[in-house]
Amino acid sequence: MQFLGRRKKLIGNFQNDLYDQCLQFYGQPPLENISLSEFESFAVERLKLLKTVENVGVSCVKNSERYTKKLDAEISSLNFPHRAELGGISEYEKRRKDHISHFILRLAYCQTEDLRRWFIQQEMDLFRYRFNCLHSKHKTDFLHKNNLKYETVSAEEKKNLKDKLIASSYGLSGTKVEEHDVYKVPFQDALDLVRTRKVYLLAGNAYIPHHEIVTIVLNDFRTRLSKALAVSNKIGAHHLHGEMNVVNFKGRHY
Amino acid sequence: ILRYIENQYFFNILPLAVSKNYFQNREFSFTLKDGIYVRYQSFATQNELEKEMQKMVPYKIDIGAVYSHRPSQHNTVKSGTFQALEKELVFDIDMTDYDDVRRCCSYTDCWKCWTLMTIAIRILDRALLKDFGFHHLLWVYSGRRGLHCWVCDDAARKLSVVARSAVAEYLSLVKGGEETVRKVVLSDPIHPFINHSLSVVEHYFQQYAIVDQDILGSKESVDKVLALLPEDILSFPDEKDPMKQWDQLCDLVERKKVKYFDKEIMLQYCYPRLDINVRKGVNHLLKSPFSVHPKTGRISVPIDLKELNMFDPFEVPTISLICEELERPRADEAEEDDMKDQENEQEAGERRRIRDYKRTSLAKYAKVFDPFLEAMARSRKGEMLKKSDLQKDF
Repeated sequence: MQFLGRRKKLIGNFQNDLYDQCLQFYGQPPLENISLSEFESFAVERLKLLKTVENVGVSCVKNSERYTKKLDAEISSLNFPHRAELGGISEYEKRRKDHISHFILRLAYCQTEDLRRWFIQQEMDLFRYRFNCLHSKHKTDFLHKNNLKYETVSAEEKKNLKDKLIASSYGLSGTKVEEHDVYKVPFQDALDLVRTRKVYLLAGNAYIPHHEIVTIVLNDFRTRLSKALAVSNKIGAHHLHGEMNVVNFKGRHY
Repeated sequence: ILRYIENQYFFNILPLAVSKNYFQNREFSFTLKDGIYVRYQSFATQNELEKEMQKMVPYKIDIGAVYSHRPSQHNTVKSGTFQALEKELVFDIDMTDYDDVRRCCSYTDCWKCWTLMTIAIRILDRALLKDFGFHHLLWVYSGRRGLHCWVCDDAARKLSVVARSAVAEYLSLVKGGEETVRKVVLSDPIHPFINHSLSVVEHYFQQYAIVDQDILGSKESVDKVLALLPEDILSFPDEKDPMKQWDQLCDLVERKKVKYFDKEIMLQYCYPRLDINVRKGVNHLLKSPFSVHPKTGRISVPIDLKELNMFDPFEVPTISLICEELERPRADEAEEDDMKDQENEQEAGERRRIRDYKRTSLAKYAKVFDPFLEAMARSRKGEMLKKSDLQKDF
């Protein structure tokens, strides 16, 4: 009994760390046991969310006010983590749900190319939306926590490089440089921008304005998710093929 | 004769090859006397390489990538697992790629177009050092009409094919083949890299293009330039002096506010044209520095960037010159020989080789090569210290 108790505590701590941020890359699968009903409800709700993401993406201009409103509403109503960095139990629960539901859907959606593509697209759109909602400091925290060596450039350096930055990046004005963050990224992580010469390079680093960092992070997210799905598929999501839950929700998708 | 090539080669190039880690997995290729090309050569030690060179007497030696297994055993490795792991980033610049904008010579060598190579070095060297943050660059004369650039940083060796291609694209401004007339197109905003490149080109343009290449000197060549200008500019300002003609043209471009056409012309005539080979990525082999060019006999020597403006390809030593210099009596060294008799044979052999090349015209090129090697050795030491420091923490 003691042993079990301690184990629970350990897991609790680990998960506290895992859920200290609103957004995540879903690098670690969940380690706990959950009930079958939670399993189902989590999965169904995430699927609803992803479908909304898809619909809203089609019917509205991405990142427009309408888009934001609709997606915000859905995220709230389904109890997924929202933009606000509220502490407390309910936020923790939301993040836990986010984490677990993502992994459940991975199992369901890793099995064919079409499913993978759909899943990755919606997860990316959702991620992009939620990343953009983060405050600047939380964005940087997120990057660091996930080992993306993206530093923000100091105000002084920005000032010194202002003209060069404006001349290198599309859609970047003096005010934008002053007001928004610019990130310093090893050039190997920004190859698309390097190839088209749409970024300022200095000493092996690409200086990426705020509105472009999302693209870089998204690419990273897509790569990781792609790989993970391929692995899930190999390892044995097919073991679950006979399981009722998975078959049920594939049915609901179609 | 060839024995001398090997000696010089052995002494000069081996440190470079060894300093690029994992010597035994490095691929070499030999081009033999009858044109036979042998790939996937690899050696466990420098001595092995030397012995093989003496045995096969290659005319040309190319350096390839560091693989996952010994290249000489690649046929025994399970298919799919033999892979290139690391390879220096290399650039190959050849005068023939500029044929559409040169008038001075076709397939002979002349001094008038060498400025193009000077421009290429100035632009690319700056970009590789300052923009990309590389440190260990070696520029080598190809032996006839071009240059090779070896970027030997760790980071460069580990670049993926996609990354190499991105670097090459970033550095490319002249695009299009024979069918494309206007190969350089500039638009706002002008990237700082382009501005840097323009300032280099502008520095050389007047002397190189207007005077040496005489691009405004004949109707044919004037028409070529006109083809790059907007349609409503039908002829050059009426002026005898081509320099003044060019100046007036630039004024005209400014007045008409047809931005950048003059700059585009300068870039099309002068900006470096990178050989496509760099995109071939990790599998590709490039001629080793200090090898002999089969057609000219000149040695592929490293270029001293501090004396770049004075580099003259025609003054680069040929293999026959080197052999001549080696044949000269070594009376003054007889004494040293006696003293060193007690030392073991190998050391004496090496010492002889050192003395050998120092007596030749290659000495001054070795002086460029040595600091390059030393810098790489220092930085590798630094890396190893860093690593061991990290390990000590545990």
